[in-house]
Amino acid sequence: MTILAIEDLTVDLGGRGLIRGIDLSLERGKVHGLAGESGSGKTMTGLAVLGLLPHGARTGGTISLGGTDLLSLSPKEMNARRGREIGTVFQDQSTSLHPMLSIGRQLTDHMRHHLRLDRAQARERAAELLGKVRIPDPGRALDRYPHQFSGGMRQRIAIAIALACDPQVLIADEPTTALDVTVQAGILRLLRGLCDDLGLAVLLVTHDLGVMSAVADVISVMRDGRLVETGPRARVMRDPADPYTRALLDALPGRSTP
Amino acid sequence: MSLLSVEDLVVDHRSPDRPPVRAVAGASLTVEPGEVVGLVGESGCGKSTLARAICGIAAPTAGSIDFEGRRVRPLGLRRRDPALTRIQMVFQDPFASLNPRRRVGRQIADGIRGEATPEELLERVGLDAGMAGRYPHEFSGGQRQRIAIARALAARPSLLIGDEPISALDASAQAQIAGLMRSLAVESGAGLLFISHDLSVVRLIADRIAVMYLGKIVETGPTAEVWDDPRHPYTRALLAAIPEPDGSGTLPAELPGDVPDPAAPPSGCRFHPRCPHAMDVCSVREPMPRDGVACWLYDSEGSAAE
Repeated sequence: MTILAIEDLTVDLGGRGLIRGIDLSLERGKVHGLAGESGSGKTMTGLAVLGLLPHGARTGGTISLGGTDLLSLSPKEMNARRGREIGTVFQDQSTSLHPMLSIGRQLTDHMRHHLRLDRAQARERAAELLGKVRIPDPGRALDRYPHQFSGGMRQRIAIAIALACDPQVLIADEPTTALDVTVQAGILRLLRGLCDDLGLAVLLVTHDLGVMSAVADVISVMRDGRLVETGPRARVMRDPADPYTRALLDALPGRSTP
Repeated sequence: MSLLSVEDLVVDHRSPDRPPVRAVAGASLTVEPGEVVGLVGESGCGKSTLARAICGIAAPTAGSIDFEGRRVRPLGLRRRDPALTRIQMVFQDPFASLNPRRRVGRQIADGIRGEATPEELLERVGLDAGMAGRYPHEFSGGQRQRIAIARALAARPSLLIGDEPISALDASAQAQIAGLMRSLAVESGAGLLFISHDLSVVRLIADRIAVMYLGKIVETGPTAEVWDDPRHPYTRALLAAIPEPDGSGTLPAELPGDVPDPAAPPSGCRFHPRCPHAMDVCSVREPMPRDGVACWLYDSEGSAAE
């Protein structure tokens, strides 16, 4: 079931076409991987869905979620949906969490706002969420601060925050790039499990084709603001239709052109 | 005699009101001329501290570092021993390691030994000679790292150290820069100590691999051997955690638990609390490296003690 559909999206910043007409859909319970080099527009695509494009960016096309075109919403209307219907996890967990606020505060603020929960209800739900992302001793963790956790744990907390209001869509932009492989493995397993259990529609932006291969159901490859290829994971990875996808795969360490 | 020989090196980080953190806890390592050694491990395992000690930036608490037969002494207020300028380092972040206000050619010229010119050095790292007059901000991350490499080569090093030299770069530039460092080192007969947490790149360029965990080197061996037949349970866990880009949708294996606090390391083998094969002896006595692996599983004395 399609949850979010991007149609003919264009993003223009200062006369430069950053995204030049892409179509992409996110399905319930599926991870849609978006690959490409830096500057290809993959992060911009995520930001467009979140309504967080840089100031002065001009958009075209539609991004529809539950019958509404997100691009037509006012900033205020978009604020009511961001964090509520669309959750997000960024690359750098050390800057995406506020260093001076307790984990509990950061987990409950938007729940109280969006879901109108009282303090006790929000706290209870927050502890439940921390358990779901496998933070040990969730009750105590609520009163601790980001620096008291490791990078992998902080990323789990960031995922809990993203999921707090039961969003339908999760945008994850390079969620494991700053982590060690051993920690990355845990986060990938968690993301995949949450997607399956909660029926999330996930947009996973990453340049790491190994990560892509592990968790994505569908893979799109982006270059210069356009999609060069979209297809099921196994097909794109094993038998890429576009020469650019093939070049990306061949550039992987330990691989060579057959 | 090895080009570089590190014996039982211990490096402590001291800070007031805290117990010292033993970042490197008795590590031994050699690098031969023309050899590429990849040093891998999770963040916080002490690999960067080890590299800094080799350059003389971090002071050893115990153990020795010998380079071309001379003892490496930590940098003090005096000028660096000229013999030690034959050790050159390429740092992680080329945005921070180059001076933004000086032309790149001038920065390369600072360290030149012998006849070379900045233009020649730029060409050796795959850039145009005409770029010498530009400033760092006019280059991409990958190009800046090439400039940092050119600057390191200017001193005609016999040992090049790369401390996570590719982790700040785009994926597309990573393999290129790693390959460039390898070929430049091998061509000039210099040794290369390449530190990275990216095992797939290390596999590509290293002749020998050393795996570090919590301040100790737990396994070393020829790259292909370690890759095909990892022996230490930690090496196995590290390799199993790498997601394969094969399109199969297989989730990588997880290594349970966190890296322990280096200020209070576990008793015995430092990996035993996370090790799936831990035996009684592992929590009591520390295994010594034998045939390149420090693990009781491969030590008959350990099985006897069992």
